[in-house]
Amino acid sequence: MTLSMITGNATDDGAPIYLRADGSWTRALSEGKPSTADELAAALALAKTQQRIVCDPYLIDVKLVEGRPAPTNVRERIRATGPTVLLPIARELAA
Amino acid sequence: MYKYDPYDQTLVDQRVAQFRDQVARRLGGEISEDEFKPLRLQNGLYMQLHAYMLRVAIPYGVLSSKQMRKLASIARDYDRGYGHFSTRQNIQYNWPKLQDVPAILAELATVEMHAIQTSGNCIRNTTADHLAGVARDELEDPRPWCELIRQWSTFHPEFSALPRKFKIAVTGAPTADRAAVRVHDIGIRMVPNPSGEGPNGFEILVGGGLGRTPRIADVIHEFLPREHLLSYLEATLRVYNRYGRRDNKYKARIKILVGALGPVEFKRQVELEWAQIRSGAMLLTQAEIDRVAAHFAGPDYRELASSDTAVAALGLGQDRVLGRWVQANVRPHRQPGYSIVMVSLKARGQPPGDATSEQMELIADLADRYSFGEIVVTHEQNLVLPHVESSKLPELHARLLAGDLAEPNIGRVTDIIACPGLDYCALANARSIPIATRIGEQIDDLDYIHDLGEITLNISGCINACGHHHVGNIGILGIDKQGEEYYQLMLGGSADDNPSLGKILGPAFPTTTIVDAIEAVLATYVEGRESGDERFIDYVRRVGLAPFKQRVYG
Repeated sequence: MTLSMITGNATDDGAPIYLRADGSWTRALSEGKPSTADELAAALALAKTQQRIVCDPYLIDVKLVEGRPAPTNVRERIRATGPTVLLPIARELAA
Repeated sequence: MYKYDPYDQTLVDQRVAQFRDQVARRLGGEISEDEFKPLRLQNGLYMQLHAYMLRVAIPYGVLSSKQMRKLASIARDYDRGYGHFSTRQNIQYNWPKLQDVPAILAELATVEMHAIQTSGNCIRNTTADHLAGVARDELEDPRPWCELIRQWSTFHPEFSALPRKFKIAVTGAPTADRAAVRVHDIGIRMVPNPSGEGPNGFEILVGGGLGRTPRIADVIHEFLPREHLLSYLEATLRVYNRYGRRDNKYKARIKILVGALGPVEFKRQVELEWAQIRSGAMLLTQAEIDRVAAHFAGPDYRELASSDTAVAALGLGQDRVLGRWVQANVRPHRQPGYSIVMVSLKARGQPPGDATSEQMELIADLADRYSFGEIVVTHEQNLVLPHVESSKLPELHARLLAGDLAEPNIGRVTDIIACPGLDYCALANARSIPIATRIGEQIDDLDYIHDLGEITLNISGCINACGHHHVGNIGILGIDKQGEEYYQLMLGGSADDNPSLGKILGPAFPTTTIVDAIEAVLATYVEGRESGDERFIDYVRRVGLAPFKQRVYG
């Protein structure tokens, strides 16, 4: 069974956000609600009306890894965890 | 450099106020994202993978030290302490919050800057030769013409909803294309008057571009008298606006139209249109040309003796760190006693084109101290201090070195052009920056890098080609294979006066082996070149892809 999750970008700062089971939004992918695309159809339709909170919500494919959802493609993995290159502030700390 | 008149300032200030109101209504829930998106895009505000991204226009790449300090303070106060100089000579901020964007635009307006027309299907920031006004091989300074184009194209009502975005590049150096004019929607080359006397004019090229359908532009007018520049551009845009495809965004750029009609028919259409408007309101008067050109008169140089011999001696001197930098990063200036200094934003391990607030402020200070307060952004994602007294080169080098800004690699294989790629960009298929930094880390022997000589290496994270991979001597294109990153390697591209599009070498490489493949390509060249004088691109053109394929794929 292919699992999906609803995501979008927060209106305030553009950060990736994920829909929880209770209908609220979280910035942690691991807290999002995985389900089938069919089961998420109504929630996605509702999410598209929440434009003050979220921009352009859509479904992503996920799989369960040790019981937690994880994206199946590299794009969503990077989107969930941030750039894979060190930002200058992190480079300074590393130096 | 150009100074806003009250009309320019009013225009920009009014746009800030307008966008402030639009953002307030968006955050207040009065307008939806669907309604807001076209408004934010008109102000250069994109939505990327992790955050909004604000693209700020730097007209033809020219910045004052005051403007650079403002860019630095915006990065520090509203973003994460750095900015990304792009292949369009612009700067991009990767982390602005929506509520802060009006304040950022207001700050920019105080230094005559804005983000207008850095997105959307309109005429974008006009780019130019980054050595404009100082290069020895220049026929005429192209910046006044760029400024005239900027004024003509800003808020041009007829061209605010073109079939697709539109990019114009201008060079005043007829024998050294540093602006990649042949891969732009319109390329403009200043050329001498064919009569042998009289003012210079323009060669007009149309239909170049990269992206999913790369194409070298066609010349449609060999000598356009200068007073007709804007009317001819207007006629060209009108033909494109009328006939360019709007049914398919991937077929909507002018290059597709020029390809479909053929350059002869396209030219015929343009000239028909031009005949109706060429003597109208857009005819440039000498007074108007002079008014704008006066802004680019150049600084108050000291009268100095030629420094060519002294600079050459520095390049070969005992201080090898300084010598390498002079050889790679210093260019001859048209003014005796002065040099052009290229500041590399490609230090080892750093994302190409990124500069921290501290680095931007250092550059601004150095520009004030050594370069009459002027800075230029290159489309290769580096910076230029255009007017440096040659006797001050060692002193300047030491200060750049302290700021991690003295990498001696301009035009070398580690001077990599790279788009933000999948680390930031919502369109990307694969990461670009980590590939660039790994190449820089793996190929780190400076003697070897200098022995390789001139090589351009360009990386794009997707087919949209923001990293200009088609015209890199070595091009890398990131692709998606079943959700994972792969990289196509192509060789033989060039964006200079002898332009060519790279050819794909063979099957794509996974992330783990693409850098090894680059090393194999370089080794093939080193072993096969006739001498150290045979450049990489010349070698590829002489031998073709076969020896590279054999070495890389076995």
